[in-house]
Amino acid sequence: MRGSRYSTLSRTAGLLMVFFLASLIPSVAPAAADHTLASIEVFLTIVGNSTDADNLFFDKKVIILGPTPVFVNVTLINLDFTSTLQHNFTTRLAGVFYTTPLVPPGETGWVEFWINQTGTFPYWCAIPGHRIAGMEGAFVVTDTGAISGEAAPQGIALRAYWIGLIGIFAMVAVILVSYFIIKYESRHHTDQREHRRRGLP
Amino acid sequence: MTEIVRTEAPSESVTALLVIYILTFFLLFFAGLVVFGLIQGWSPAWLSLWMGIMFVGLGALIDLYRRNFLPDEMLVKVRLPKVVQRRKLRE
Repeated sequence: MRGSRYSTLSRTAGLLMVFFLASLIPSVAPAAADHTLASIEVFLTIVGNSTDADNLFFDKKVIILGPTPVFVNVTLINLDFTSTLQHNFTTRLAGVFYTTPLVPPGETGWVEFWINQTGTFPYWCAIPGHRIAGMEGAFVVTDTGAISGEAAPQGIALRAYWIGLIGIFAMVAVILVSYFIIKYESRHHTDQREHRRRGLP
Repeated sequence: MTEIVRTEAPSESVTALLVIYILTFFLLFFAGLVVFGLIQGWSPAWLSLWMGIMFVGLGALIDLYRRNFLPDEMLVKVRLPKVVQRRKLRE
């Protein structure tokens, strides 16, 4: 007794899954690629002398960006080797705080965000006392403003890592799903459920 | 010297063909990622990951092709009878 209903169900569901997964990848790739057109990575470096807490500063006071929208990757490098002070980078855009983790000397931390409107947006170190000591600066975002010389356009703009990782999972899923589809639609496959239900050997 | 004992035509499943097409798309995608990464100077760890997964997909593709588009044949090699030379033993 061939279980035709089970086979058709699984075949249909499997085919739908394959089509869904196949359509997933092309929809992810252009979406990620579009954002990279206006993206720039901004690198900030901290240099400070913590012995008297007077010489704390970001090495970039003003960063001119534009036109909007602009994608900013701030990589904070703590070069404050004279102490064990930790620093971070904090900014507030449209009511949302963006901050890097606390970065000990010699380490790096990063944060990414979109700036969708023009204006002046301050950034600072959120450790108490550091902002007063001078660890602050500002993004100046204009529609006509070009990327300032202080912003180093380096690094990998395209987030192809994630596209590739999603591709790996999708390909493994396709292989797994197709294995079962081909197995059940094969003429060598017999449905043994009725046999097992009757308890036959 | 050989003889086909049993042969069976391949199923030529449409699903298998479809999956082969999809896997081909994935292979081209990962190959493109490797080439793009080489041009962009990505780290070898990522490039080797993309290249490795490309070969995994290629293996699955070739296996699908072998199972569904090549005939299932059993070949038996017909051996000649062994010739034993006469010789004298312990005379």
